[in-house]
Amino acid sequence: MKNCLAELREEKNWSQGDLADQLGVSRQTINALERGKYDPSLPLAFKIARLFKRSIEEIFEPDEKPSKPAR
Amino acid sequence: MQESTESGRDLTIGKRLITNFVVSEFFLIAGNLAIRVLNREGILPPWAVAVVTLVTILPMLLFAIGFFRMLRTDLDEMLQRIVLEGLAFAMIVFVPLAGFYVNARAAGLISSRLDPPEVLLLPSILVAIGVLISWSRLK
Repeated sequence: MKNCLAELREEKNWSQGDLADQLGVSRQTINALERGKYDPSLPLAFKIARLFKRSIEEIFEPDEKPSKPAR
Repeated sequence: MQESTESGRDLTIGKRLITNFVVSEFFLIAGNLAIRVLNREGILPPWAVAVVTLVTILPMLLFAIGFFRMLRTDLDEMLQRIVLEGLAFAMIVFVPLAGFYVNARAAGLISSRLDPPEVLLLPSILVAIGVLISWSRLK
């Protein structure tokens, strides 16, 4: 899943540690989120959206993969 | 500054966990050795050997409680996932391996016996490998 978390964080001049503290997660989690290696849970996604005053869709964008047709 | 504080906290959790695990594993293995010697020599009565047995598993029991608490309260969702994937990896590898050993031994294909250190250390080594694999995917 793509996201613009790094850009939003840099706009606020926060370090990864600052953001991690505000969200109550580890810095490693912020790093993995920004690099698109880890998809957050729904509660964490809501927390992030609330913190940046955006909707979840504005921050996170699903990968465009054609879904398999149902059999 | 914040980053180093956060990393420091994570490092402390990891360090504490590994130290506690190594200490409790040492107690378990040293205890096993002591029990075997005590049984062979017949120095202590059976009830005292039973007490020694219980004492040697206490540190591991405390470690297990601490590990469960850490998993639930100290780790965030991604770190929880890494640890749980490590545990799942260990389970997936250990169970077929143990099944193979038991059946191969029953069939007489393997004659060697596993010693307590191997039995006790293999699951934890597998968890560590599983955590490393999971961590490297998310890093």
